Amino acid sequence: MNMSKSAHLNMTSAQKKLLFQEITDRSDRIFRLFLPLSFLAGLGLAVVYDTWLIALLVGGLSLVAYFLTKQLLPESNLYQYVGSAVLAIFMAQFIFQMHGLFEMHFFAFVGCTILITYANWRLQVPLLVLVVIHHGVFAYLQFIGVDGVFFTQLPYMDLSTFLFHVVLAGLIIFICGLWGYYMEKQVIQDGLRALEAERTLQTNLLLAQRIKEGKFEEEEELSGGPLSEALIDMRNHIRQSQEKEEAEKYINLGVSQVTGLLAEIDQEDIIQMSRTLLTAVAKYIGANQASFFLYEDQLEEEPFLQMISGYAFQKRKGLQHRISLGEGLVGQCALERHPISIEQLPEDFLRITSSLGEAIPTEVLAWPLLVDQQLLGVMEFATFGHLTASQEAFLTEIAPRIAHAIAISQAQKKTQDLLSASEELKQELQESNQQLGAQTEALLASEKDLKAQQTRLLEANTELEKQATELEERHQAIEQARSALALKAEELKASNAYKSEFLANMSHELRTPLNSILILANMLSENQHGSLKPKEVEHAEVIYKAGSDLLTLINDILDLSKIESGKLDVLMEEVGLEEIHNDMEMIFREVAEQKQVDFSIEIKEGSPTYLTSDRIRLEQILKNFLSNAIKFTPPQGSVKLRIGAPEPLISFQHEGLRQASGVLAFSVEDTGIGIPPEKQALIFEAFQQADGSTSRQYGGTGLGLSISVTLASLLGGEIRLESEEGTGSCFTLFLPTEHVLTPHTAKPKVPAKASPNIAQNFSSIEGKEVLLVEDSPHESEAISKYLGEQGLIIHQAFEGQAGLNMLTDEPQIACILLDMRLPDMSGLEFLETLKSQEEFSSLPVIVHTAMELNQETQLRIMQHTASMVLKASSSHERLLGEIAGLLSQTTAPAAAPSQEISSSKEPLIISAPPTASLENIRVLLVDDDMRNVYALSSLLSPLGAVVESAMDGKEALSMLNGGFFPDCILLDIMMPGMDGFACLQQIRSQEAHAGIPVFIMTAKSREGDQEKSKELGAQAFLPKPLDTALLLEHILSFKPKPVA
Amino acid sequence: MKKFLVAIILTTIGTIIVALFWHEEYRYSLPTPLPPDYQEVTHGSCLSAIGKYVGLQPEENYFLHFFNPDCPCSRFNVPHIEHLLQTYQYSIRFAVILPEGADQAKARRLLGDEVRMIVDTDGFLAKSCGVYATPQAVIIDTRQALYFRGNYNRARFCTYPGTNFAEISLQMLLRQKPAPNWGSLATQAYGCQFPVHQSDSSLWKPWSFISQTAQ
Repeated sequence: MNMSKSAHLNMTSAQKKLLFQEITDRSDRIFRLFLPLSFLAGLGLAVVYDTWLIALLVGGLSLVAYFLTKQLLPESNLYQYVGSAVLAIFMAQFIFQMHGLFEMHFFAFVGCTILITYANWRLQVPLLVLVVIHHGVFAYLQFIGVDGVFFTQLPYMDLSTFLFHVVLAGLIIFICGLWGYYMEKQVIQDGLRALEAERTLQTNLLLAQRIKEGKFEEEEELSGGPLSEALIDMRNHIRQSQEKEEAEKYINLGVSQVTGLLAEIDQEDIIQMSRTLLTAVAKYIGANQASFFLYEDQLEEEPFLQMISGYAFQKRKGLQHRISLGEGLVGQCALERHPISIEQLPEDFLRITSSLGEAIPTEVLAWPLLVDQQLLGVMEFATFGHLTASQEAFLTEIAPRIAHAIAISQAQKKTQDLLSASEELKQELQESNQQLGAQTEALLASEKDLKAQQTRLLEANTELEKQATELEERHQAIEQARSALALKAEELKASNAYKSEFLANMSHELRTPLNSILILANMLSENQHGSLKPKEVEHAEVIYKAGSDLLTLINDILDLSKIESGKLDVLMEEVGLEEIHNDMEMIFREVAEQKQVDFSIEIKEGSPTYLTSDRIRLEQILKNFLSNAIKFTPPQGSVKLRIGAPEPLISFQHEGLRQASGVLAFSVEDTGIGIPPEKQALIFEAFQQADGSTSRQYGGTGLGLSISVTLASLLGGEIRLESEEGTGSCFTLFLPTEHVLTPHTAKPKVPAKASPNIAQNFSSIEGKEVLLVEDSPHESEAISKYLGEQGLIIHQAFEGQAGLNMLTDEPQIACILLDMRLPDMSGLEFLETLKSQEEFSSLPVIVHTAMELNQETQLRIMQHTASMVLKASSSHERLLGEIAGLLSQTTAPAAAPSQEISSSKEPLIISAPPTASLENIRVLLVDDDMRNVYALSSLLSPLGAVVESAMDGKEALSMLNGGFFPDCILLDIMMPGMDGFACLQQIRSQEAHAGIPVFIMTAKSREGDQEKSKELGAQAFLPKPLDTALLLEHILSFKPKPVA
Repeated sequence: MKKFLVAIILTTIGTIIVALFWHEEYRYSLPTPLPPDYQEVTHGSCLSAIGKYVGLQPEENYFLHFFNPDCPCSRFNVPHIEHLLQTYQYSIRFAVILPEGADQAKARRLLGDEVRMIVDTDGFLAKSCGVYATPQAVIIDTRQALYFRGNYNRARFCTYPGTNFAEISLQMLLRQKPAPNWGSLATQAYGCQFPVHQSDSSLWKPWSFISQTAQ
């Protein structure tokens, strides 16, 4: 504070102006912007409040006053005061323009805040004065108009309130002024600090300059602050370093001179060498006199020091050249092995003389010559001055080197003596060397042999490693092959499973048309109308026969595939041996007799009356054995079935037999062609017979034994074969008398439903009229003919419109057959037109088409009709069936729909007509099979339910999320895209749908499906075909109860 | 020299600005000076004399708005007049009284075409009603007696609803209440002088306010 105060006094007005220049410039910029903006704001207000005179003249003149002052007196700060006044004028202007709006007073505060930026509190004064004048004049004028009224615009503004406002406004302006004052003060202080810093910098620069010029001596006081002190320290360090450097330089130079001398001089002559060295050292250190003593330590006498050379040495009486240790300065130095110096010498001490005079030296110095603390000599110096630290350091450095030179010189002398003695020894050594050479050669030869052996060993080792690597590679290859085999085996197993599945499905698909072929071929062969020629009847019979064989084959394949795919279930029951006896007798007695084969059945004594097994499967095996036996036994041969306990000591492979308490053997012996031993294993394989020609000679599929073996295993038993070619065979079936459950037979048997009978009773449709809409005349004729023969009256239409017209003309038409492709409209359009007319809305329609329909089209068709028949060779019969079905439905609308759309899925069958009411129950039906959708809709809609359908899980979810809230969901499991389980999981995961009851429906119930559906939160698990009563019961149990 | 020039300029500009503020604002803070020949018309005085000019009908109330489009004070309360016209057009008959020589087109622009305007030749109506300033309101009751004459509001811009003297008086009249006795803030006229002759109506003469204040 003091510093700034004193410096403030030192600051010139020019410096001060410079200091504020930047602040002033910045504030000027603000004013240059702010004042025109205020003027523009005034113009803006004039637009609204029609105050142009004031806005233009007052605002304009204010700007003129400010800018003109600034222009004319740029060096003066008068314009800043004018600016301050202009701010007050703008405030008054805005108050006028805004009809005395109180808030416009704040413009004064904006002004005084802007004025702070100049850092000059005095600028607040014009603003304050004008504001006071402006308000004061108002108050005065109004007061003299009406007593006690100061401000008419603001009725609450009495004198005390006005004064309160004045104080507050004054306070604000005072604070702004105070702020400006402190800012000004701060700026000045900052400026002074900058000045002080600059001065210090100048001082330091001067000091640095002196250091740079090498002027280290000047010690004048500098007040440059910490930096100056640091610079002085630096200068002292530099000075010390320089002195040190000079001393080192002195030492190094001396050392190098002496070292040079040592290299040059003859070290063998120790006296000459000592003289040279002593002279050089004495000269270098500036000694005036010097002597060199050599230490002698001989065995026969006391060690002593012998002076061998001197420098400016003067012989004097009493002075000794031989000195004992501890004698005098030199002797004491030798004894202590440490330099000794004496100053302030006595008057009678030695004198240094010249031809001109003599004088007493001021310092005498004895310096020992040591090598590893071993004394070799002493040098003594006398000088008029005093030895400096550098000189002593030089002596310290040089003394060991001189001592070394002496030691070397002495050693050389000794070496010379030893050399001659060694010459003699050398001769002796040469001789012994020759002997060693011979021994070395022998050793080298044996080493060579060893190396050769090592090489062979290495080669053998490499070979072994190679073999090991090969073995490793082979091992890996085998491993790979093994894993590939395992993979193949897995694939094989999978493909076998697929095959079985495929076969099961295919056989089912094949049997259906085959049944039709058989029935029709049979009808043809019966020739009821007598219209066929005998040859044609015969052909029909051949078709029937071939078809029957095909059906047998397919049944066999179906059985085999069912067993292999694990779909065949067994029903364990008590089977009486007598019953089996009777059955076999009944079946094969006549066949055997026809073939003139002796056939007998024998039940051994002591056999149990019953065994626990699946009677049908057991008989299937026995029938296979017996039919084979009879087939392969020539006339006059015999076939025998023996039932009884097996021979003792027989060992079984099947676990069931090993664990069984009792075993029964069913043996079928024949005297047939027999089976060669190498083919006995082969005949149990599927599609194999002992000989390829066998099949041609005896017929059969070759599947019977394969099925039998699998069935036997399923029943917990096994089959054995004993046979000799040309003599006969014996097939024996071993079964446990008490069935032991094995994993294969764990499933309980579900009684199979009777398959729907394809044969229909067509008598009820005779005389009914049918409209056939079909564009192909040929097809139309064929269908008309066929259906006409069945007693129907057919009306043919070849175009859609004609068909519609015909409907109006022939009101007794009871059913329509519709082709989807028509010349004037599509079948779908026909359907929609038809169904839009009320009188035909209930008329049944069968779509008969060869077109491949997508699901959407199917869905649209399904909205109007459920019957659809694909055009094919057998479609006429199906059409008949459909017509019969539909015409009978006209009186019972809730009956089952047609199931003719080709699909691998099991159809859904409604088992009973429902009676319950499902009024207003919303059902979401999720199934990809249109037939099921239609069937369930047909079931539920007439009961009042509102049925919405979705094709898969995703669609169902999007419907739910789209705002459809069903009362229950019927969910199929097997669907493309998102299946039923995934869909259920999603439904349950959403809080909004968590409470909707879900009933799972499935045609192919897999193990665990029911448990899974329960886990996922399904309310019921309904296998297809659905039991409608059960379904309705479930729906009704979850039916929302009406609120009381 | 420059300093001298600046001093002259600043003094001149300062004077002009003070004059402008006086002319446009300060002088209206003082009551309008009374004309020398002013004769006071008291409340309840019969105004049938103006009947032929205004077309007074028996059993009708009249609201006369003395207005000069060139007077800043008249312009300040135009929004308030519009409000009165809008609110009471079916309750009382309005007429705008303009001084002779006033800019009628400007008056129409400010107050609209709907209201009836009467030019007061020789200041007859003003004198009859005791009006000598604009804006002033005069309410005449069904007996053709002066019910109210005075300012619209204590504030020039009618910003204080509590002192809407003219409107409150009008409401009292419509409720058939006696005329309220307002103080001098209502009855002492503030605003521009009502010019009786053409030469007096101009408010643009810079010296006009000097003569007015001198009075």
